[in-house]
Amino acid sequence: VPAICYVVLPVAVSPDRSASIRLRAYERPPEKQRSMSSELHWDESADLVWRRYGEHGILVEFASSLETLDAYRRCRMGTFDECVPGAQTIYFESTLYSAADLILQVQALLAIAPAVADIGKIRTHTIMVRYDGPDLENVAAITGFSVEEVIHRHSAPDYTVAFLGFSRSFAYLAGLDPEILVPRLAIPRTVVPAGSVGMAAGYTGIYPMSSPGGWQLLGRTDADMFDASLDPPSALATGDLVRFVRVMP
Amino acid sequence: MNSVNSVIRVLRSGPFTTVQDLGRRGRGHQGVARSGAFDQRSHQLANRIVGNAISAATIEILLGPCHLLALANIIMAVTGTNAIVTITPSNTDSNTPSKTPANTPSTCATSAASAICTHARYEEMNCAFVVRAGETISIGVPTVGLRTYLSIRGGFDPPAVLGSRSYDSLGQIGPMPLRENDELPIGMLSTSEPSFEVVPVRSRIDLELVPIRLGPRDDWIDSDSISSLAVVVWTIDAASNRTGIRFAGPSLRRRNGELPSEAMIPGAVQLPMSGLPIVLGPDGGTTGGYPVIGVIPQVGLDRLAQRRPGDPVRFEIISSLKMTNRRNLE
Repeated sequence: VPAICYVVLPVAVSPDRSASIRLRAYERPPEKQRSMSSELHWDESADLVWRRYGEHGILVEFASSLETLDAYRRCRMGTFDECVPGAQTIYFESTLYSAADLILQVQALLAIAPAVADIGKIRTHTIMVRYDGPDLENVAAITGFSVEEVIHRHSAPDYTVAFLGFSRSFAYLAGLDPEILVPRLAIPRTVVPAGSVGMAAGYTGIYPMSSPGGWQLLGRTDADMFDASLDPPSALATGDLVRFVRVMP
Repeated sequence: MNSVNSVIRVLRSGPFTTVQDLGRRGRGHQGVARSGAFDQRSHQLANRIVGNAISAATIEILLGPCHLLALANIIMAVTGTNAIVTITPSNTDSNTPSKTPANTPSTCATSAASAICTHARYEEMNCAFVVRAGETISIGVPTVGLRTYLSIRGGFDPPAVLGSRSYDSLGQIGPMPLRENDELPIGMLSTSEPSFEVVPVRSRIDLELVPIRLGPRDDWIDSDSISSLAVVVWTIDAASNRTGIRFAGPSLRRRNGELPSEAMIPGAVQLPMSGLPIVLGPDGGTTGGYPVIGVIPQVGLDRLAQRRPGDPVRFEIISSLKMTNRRNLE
C-alpha cells in the first residue's frame, strides 16, 4: 500500500511550480490544517519524522545513530545542495526541488538495497595520541578507574565518525566505552589548543583548531585534522573509522 | 595579501572589514560554514551595479570608517546602509603615485567637501562611479544600520579558499580581515555594463520586521511562547556578530534538555535554556544541540545584518509549509 502523505505548498516556496498538480497526489488532512507544527510523520516507516527546516530544506529524524549513518551513506549519492548528517538526523536542502520532491527523492534513496548503496569504501585512520591531557585525573575520578584504565578504555575501540560539525570540521566520534562517559566541564576553557583529544556528551573528538571548548581533555595529537587548501579540507569524513594509538609523551 | 595586480590598498580598515561573496555552499557535511555576505541583497546589488556576476567578491564594511587607496583607475559602487562616500585626490600624500590626472569637476562636489580639501567630492550610494589611481575612497560611519558593501568592476580577487573568497570568522577560513596596508587584487568577473544611474533602492522602513518560518523544533515551545515570539519587541544584544545575533527580551518557556546535535543553517533561530533566541549568522556553526524553533529566510537575514545592538526587532511568523501524514485512508 503506497504511503499517503499531505503537503501544502506555500507560494513562497515554489512560485514557479504548479501547486495544483502536486496537490493532486496528496491528500489534505481533516483537522491538523491549522496546526503551527512543522512535523510530519511518515506513514510507511513509523520511526521516521520529517520536518520542514527553513526555506529550502527538510530535516529527517531517524530512530538511532546507526540508522542515521546508514541512511547518510545512501543519501549522499543524491543531488542535494546540502546533505548534512547530525547525531540522529539528516538535513537535506535543495533550491531546485520543492519539499515534497525532496522527500520523494530521499525515500527513493532510502529504499535502495544496502549492498548497492554502501559503495563507499570505509577508510580507517590511525591517530597517534599522547595521553597527557589536563582532565585525565578528573575523568578517572568521575569514572572510578585509574588514569591508566581510562587511557586503555579510550584507546581500545574503533570509533566511527558520526558527523562533522561546529566549525572547521570538528569530527564527532561515536563508539566510546560506555563506562567512561563523562559530562562537559562545568566551566568551559577559553582556549583549547588545536590537536587536543577530548570527550563529552557521548562523543570523543580532536579539536581541529585552537578554540574555546568544554570537553574533558585526555591528550594531544600532532595529526593535521584540517587543511583548507585541500578539498575536502577535513582528514575525516562521516562514516570513517578512527583508531587512537597511545604514544608516550 | 599583496600582489602585482593590486588595485586597492587599505589605509584604515575600520573595526571589521572582510571580503565576502556568496559563500561556501554545500559544505555543511564537511563542517564548513556557509559564510558569505551577511546582507546578500546589498552584496548582490553592489555587484550588479558595476556589471559583475553576483558571485564576485565585495568588501563587507562593519560600521567603518574605512579608507582605501586606489592603485589603478577603477569603477566601484557602495551599497548597504547609508554612509557618506568621499573621494579625495591625495595631492599632499607622498605615499601615492603622482600620476593622478587633474581632478575633473564632479557633479557631486559640494561646498562642504571643498572646505576640507579643494578636490574632494562626494559619491552617491547605489551608483557606479570612477576612482582614479592615487585617489582615496573614504566610507564614513553610517548613522543608521551596520554594514556597507563596496564592489569594484571585475570583483576583488584574493585567493579563493574552498571555492569562496569569503572570510569565515568562526572557522577562520578564507582571506583574513583587512588590515592597514593590505592590498587586494582585481578579478575578471564583470559580465555586463556598469550602471552610472542611481538605483532606487527600496527604502528600509520595514527593517524592524523580520519574517520567521516556524520549525523544525517548534514543538519545544508552547503556543503561548510562539505568540510572545511574534508579539514581543526584541532588542539586539551587544554580543552579536557574524556567527550569531543574540536578543534581549522576556524569556520564552521551552522544554528542558538538549537535542542530539543536528544540522544548523544560517537564519536558524536557536532557543537555549535561557529562553532568549539566537539567530545564527552566515558564520554560525554547522551543527548544534539547541532546538531550532524557526528559521529566518535570507530576506530577514539581510535586514538583521543591518540592525545594531539596541535596535528593536519584531518577528513576523510567515506561513510555514505544513506537512502532516494521514493514517491509511480506508
